[in-house]
Amino acid sequence: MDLPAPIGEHLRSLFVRSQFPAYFFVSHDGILVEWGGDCDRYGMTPFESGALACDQIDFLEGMLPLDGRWFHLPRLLIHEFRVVDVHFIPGDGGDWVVLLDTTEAANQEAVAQQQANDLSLLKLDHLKMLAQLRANNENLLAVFNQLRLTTALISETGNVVFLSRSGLNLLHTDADAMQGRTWREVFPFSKTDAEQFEQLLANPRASHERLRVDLKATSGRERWFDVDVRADPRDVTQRIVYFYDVSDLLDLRNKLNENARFQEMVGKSHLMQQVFQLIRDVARVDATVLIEGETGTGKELVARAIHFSSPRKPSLPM
Amino acid sequence: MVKRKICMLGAFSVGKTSLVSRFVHSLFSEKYHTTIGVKVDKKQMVINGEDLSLLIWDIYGEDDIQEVRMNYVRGAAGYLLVADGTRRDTLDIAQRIRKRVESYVGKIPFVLLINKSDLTDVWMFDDATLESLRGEGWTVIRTSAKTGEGVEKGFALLAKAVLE
Repeated sequence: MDLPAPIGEHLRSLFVRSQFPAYFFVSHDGILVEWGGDCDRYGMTPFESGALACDQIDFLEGMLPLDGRWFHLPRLLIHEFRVVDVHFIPGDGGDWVVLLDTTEAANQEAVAQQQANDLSLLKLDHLKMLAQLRANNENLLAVFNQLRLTTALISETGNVVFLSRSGLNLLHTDADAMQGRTWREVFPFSKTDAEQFEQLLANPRASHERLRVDLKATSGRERWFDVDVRADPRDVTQRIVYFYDVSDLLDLRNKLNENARFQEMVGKSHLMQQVFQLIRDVARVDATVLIEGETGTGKELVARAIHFSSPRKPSLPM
Repeated sequence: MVKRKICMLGAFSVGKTSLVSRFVHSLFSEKYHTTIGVKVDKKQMVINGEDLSLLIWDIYGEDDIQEVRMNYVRGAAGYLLVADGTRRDTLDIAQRIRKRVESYVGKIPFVLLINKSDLTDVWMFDDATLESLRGEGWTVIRTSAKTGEGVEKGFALLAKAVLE
């Protein structure tokens, strides 16, 4: 570009004042021949003329001689906090090396680059945390689904938005089939149980007692549950419903009650259990049995129990 | 004294500057300062009885926006590829850089440093991955600029290789 001499001179002066150039000339055999400009600014002097350039200027190691093409190295931190762009320019019998001060621009870049890198690292951390949360969620769900505890999440509108695997198994359904269905459609409650359940949903804190319901699973087996309803701490309009399966407990209790009865007699104590066993033993024996005891102790009940437990039980009325 | 230029290359924030700082000045800082351009440090070593002046070019890290300029690698006798053991993608970046260096300066010695080995709970590289790289002829060292683990060894291995 041809510029009038005063403009060219002004621009040159402006450039020199803002960039503080320093330069060296290095012969093709690596000898520092000439230098000039603002070398002091970069803490590089004194130089020894006629000595190897790379012994005096570390960053020249391996860089010269050039292959006839110029290139530049941006942003070399050269002296304390001084940053330069280094231009390598081929010349006659050697190469020129020119340093331009770019400290200010480098400092601005450093701020922007630091923010960009910090953001990138933050994003990576978030992605890692998200992956970890997903993994934890899957692990928890896997453990949770292994529990026999049936749990449901019911929305404000009464829709079942989640049902644990044990619940899905109990009702022989799957999560997709739950979509958009209300608890009335999902849980086969009796009319009375449904009414009580609705009250619990409306006011879960009103009762600390659990509601006992029976659910007839699609397998046909009737199962008993104690139902506990809690407000979802994340969204108080939602309800978390816990179904504690007490079927086995009730079965066990019934068995215990059966053991506590013998014919027309009732008794859980060890002594009464011994009496029941004695009756069973003597009922098997083909002999006359004498029953003694105070009036009102139940001799007649024992006699009737022996009679009805005996394999020789006659059809005669007592 | 023999002089050799080596370069520190890798993704951003893998710990290149911290490794140099640990190796040259025996210092470590938890605070992360990004490197702009390049900083040259010097370290004197004795390798197999021979004095060596190592000129270490700590070059800015590569990210999604800017690749490392190969002009910085000009005249290097070897380089340390640095990856972050807690960020799997930094190994991919190191592998890409290695290919570019080879196409620019040809095959020169390098050592792969998997840095931040002190962060065991978030470590992403299994032994099989590292063994697979060793199987390809790579020298792979686990390092921690924080504790100093493997740092001297990594630099010394490269120093020996550049003198051969």
